[in-house]
Amino acid sequence: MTIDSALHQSYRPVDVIVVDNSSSDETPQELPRLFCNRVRYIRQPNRGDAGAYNTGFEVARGEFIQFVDGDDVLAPNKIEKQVEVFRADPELDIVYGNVRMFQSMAGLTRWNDPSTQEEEDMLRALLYPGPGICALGTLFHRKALEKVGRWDESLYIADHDYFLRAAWAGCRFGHCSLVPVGFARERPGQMTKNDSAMMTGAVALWGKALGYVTSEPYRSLIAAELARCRLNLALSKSTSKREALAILALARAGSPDTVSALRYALVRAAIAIPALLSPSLRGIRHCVLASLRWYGATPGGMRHKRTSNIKQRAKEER
Amino acid sequence: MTPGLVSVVICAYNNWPDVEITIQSALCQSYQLLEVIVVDNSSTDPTPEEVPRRFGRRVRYIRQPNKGCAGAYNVGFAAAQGEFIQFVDGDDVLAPNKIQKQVEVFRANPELDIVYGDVRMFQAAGGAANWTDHAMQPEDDMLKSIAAPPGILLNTLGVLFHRRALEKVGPWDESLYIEDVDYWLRAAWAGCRFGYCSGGPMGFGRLRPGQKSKNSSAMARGIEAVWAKALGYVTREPYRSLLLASIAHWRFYEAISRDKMSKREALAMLALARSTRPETISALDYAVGCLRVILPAGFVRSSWTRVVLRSFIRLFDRNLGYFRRARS
Repeated sequence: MTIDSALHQSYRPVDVIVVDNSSSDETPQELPRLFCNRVRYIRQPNRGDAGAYNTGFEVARGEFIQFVDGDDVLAPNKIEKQVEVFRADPELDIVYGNVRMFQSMAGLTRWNDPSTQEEEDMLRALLYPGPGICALGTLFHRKALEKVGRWDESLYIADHDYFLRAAWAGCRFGHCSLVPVGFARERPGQMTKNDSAMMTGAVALWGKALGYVTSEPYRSLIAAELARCRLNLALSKSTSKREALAILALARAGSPDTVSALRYALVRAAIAIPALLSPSLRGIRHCVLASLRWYGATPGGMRHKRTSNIKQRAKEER
Repeated sequence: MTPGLVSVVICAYNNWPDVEITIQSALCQSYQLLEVIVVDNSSTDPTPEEVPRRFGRRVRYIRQPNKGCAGAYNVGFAAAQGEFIQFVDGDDVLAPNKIQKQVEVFRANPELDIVYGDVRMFQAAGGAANWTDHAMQPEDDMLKSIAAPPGILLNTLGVLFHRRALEKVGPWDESLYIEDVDYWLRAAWAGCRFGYCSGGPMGFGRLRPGQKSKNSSAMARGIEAVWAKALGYVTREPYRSLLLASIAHWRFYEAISRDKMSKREALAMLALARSTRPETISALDYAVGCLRVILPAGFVRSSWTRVVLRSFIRLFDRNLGYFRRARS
């Protein structure tokens, strides 16, 4: 369905490149059989999303580049509408839009669809996980990809890193009002469902960003975001007590404004005495979690963190 | 009729700009032998200017007085030339390979009249997602599956009709609020053969505030009208008693949810539900229902009464699955 959604766009001509990260299912047999020479099929060792995007871009000949993951669906006029935005403003490097999720399995839905909007300062907007920009909803001009360089294959969250780097490199972003420009599949076992990997990935992402973003106020915002991610990581179940304390100390050292002494003490207590967070002591657990939340840290994963950050951002804007 | 041709009938009513995606999702199908007919129920937005201007001769544009979806489907079908017919509402999106997949099912099983598949919903505005998607599966006896509580609900978006099915069943009923359930019941009663098409969502249904299906009291009245009409022509058992059970369930649910209903009306509705089919709503169900209606709402909502009531329902009520479904 993903390939059909790319092949049958209202915009022509479209060149579809399928990069297969060594799928062990029927992909290598079925794809060339079903689509023959209408798609270019490339098989490579598994290098993640980022590796596939890099390989794909190397062989791409287009002026505009769209990256899609293998289970998402493009809206039929996505490319047309976003190319229109590019044509209207030739200065633009990247055009983004609203993506909506749908679920693979039937049942109750539980997610948040982010909304995108025009942003005056994209770098600043990206420092809060609010703007909801993702590869599926984005169309790149070739010059943007040439300016920003390769996707980072060492990161777990490669797309956010890429948009940060693009914004830092001065790429101009445009917004497309079509709703939705794409449908993102939600299914069990997805990369984004692995909370501890996402938290570790977020720490790596912001750590990297701190390495190249050299101007204020972005640096301190990144430091704050990094500290917040570290706090979440320290509180997650995936780290040992020792690691957690070390990460916590790092968080405090990295951004003393974000991790105040009080907050530090609170999280330290929560790590040192795991009983505080155990479900059996409900009352205490509620108090601890509530006070942590008050300070912006929520043990329990990225998704909660995202919503709380959106709220925080809305508050600041007010 | 042109063999192999698929007619996509799009019902538009003030759906600009969403209807543009809908039309494009029909035009940009992997199955290429198709015609697109847009029936505009007298939209007051830019639809009448924009659709002919943007799509020119690639779509047939018909404007008519507002006769609801059913009226638009009827007019669209009258104008359609295809062997297969697809009906779409003006803000939904067809999956890019929907028609191709379902035509393949028709080709593999030439005796089929109607092919259906899964549909997934998406929301127009951002924010928390809060709905339930229903899973479809192959059904042996479609009439039974629709009539029996909790009843499966086919989505028109996920269905492809063979022309002969529409000729056999006749026009869509323009007097009903919920015309699709009525149509599935009539089709199943007329002996149409239904086939299931697996392989991912066949379409994406848009959820937005102010939709017809968001008007819950009108939906409740509408579904009752559909069941009542079905009782008029479904003359065989076990379907009749299944239909009665569905009506009883529905009235019971309506009474205890008390949507725009006074206590008195709710109690009358409960009594009506019980008299509709006493086997379905047992004396105990009735008693629990009355309790829920009589007790003040705050009392019912307080956590401990909820626990007690819920355990009551869980213990005694065979209809729990139905309530869950109806609530969602």
